[in-house]
Amino acid sequence: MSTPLCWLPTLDISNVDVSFGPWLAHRFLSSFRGRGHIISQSPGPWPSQETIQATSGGQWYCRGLTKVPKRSKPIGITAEISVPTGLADPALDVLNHALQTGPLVRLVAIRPHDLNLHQAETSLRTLLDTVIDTIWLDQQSFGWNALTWLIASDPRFQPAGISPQDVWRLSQLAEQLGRPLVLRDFSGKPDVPLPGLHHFSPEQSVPRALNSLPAWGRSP
Amino acid sequence: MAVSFSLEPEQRALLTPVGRLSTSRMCWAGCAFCRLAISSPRMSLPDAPPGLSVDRLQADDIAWDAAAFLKLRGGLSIKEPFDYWLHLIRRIKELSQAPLMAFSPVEVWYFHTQERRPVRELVRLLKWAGADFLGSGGAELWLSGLPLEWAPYRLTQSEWLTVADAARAADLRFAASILVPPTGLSLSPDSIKVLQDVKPHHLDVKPLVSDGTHLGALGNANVVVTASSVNQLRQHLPEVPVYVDWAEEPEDTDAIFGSAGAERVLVPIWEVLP
Ligand code: SF4
Repeated sequence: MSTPLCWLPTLDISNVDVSFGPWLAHRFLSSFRGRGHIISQSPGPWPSQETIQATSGGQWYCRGLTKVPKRSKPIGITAEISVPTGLADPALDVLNHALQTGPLVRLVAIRPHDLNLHQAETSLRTLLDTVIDTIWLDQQSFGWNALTWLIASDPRFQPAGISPQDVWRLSQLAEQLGRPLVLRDFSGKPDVPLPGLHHFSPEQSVPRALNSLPAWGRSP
Repeated sequence: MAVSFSLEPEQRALLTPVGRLSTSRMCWAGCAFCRLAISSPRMSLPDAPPGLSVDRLQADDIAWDAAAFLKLRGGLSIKEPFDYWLHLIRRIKELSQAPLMAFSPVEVWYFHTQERRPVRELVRLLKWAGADFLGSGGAELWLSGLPLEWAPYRLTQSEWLTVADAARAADLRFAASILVPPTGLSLSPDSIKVLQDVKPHHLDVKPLVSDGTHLGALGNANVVVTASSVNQLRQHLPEVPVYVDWAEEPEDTDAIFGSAGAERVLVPIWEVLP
């Protein structure tokens, strides 16, 4: 079975007011029957979550060089870095910091706006070969063209930050690549297979309106 | 269906900004994939709005210098006679140095039947007026193996080949367009043979953008199917350059289609309507 393409519905409430964030997270998760992933400042009652503040026993979402005290040692770390453009890139410092703090379980890559696709690809592949076996690519910074392209070229890339209204694009891509599309989170529950797009094939879909050309004379 | 690639890394296609000039938006042909036309009856239209005027070309808002490629095309309910358009083409050539694709075989055929003038004469006159290429439209459905009902009034293979032959005789370069459906291109051996025989100057790969057309339910062709189609064409016709007509977000398409083997990505940057 080929590697599934994953949709990880994610809500980042780390910048949302604490009085509002949990409610928002609850609404978000309930729209996916309790599945979905939350990124927040501190731990909450969500089955799948990462926190910006490192907490002992939690999943730390590392975005920078924040010092982590010994007593709050996380059990797993997600590093969010911009795609490194060279050995001296500060993104690598963040990555090293994460690696030194605890086990790296997930890597999310953001594309710097001036980095061309071939360079980004080379850099990401180096990370895949040396650091981790899956990289989540941020849709917003990569753009749909680069994202679909990279995912098609290597099954070790997964999409990050896909909003529900864009899932059809993943569905289309999964179909093109002959891979299953699943909803995944890190709650430990099994992946939920997502149905494919309703498939209209060019062979069957002769638009009905064309039977009565000319188009201007069509009956309602 | 699983798409496949063979890539030439670091290969880049040239992003080519295209200026589009539309003769008229009125058209009776009702092609299902058309995003330009306003449907109109097939009859002479004395009251139809006039087509693109020579005066419109003088307007300051047209960034002639920004376009590296020009396309003149439009609907088939054209009020003005062929000779008027020759005049317009000459004017365009005075205003811009960019190579001009003027009229596809569909329009040439239309003038041929409408004005009862030989195809060869029309094509020769286009060349004389300054057209550098004949447009690529007209062959996309049968070349791509798509249902002909999508555009029942488009050219048959023999009509298209007649225009292509005339273009070759007049020493006017011509291209062939290939429509890529979202499910991917499956080129038939027949189409490959036709293309090998007629040897177009380039292939114009047009990914289907179905929003707002009769084919909306099919969705759009994304970069992945488009790149795999480019790849397929390059494998079968290694000597014919491939251009991709990309009407959506152009970001990264030079790298993506370039590694699939395309020479250019044509990106529309402005459009002049009558
Ligand atoms: S002939 Fe051209 S303008 Fe007319 S409907 Fe077909 S594609 Fe559109």
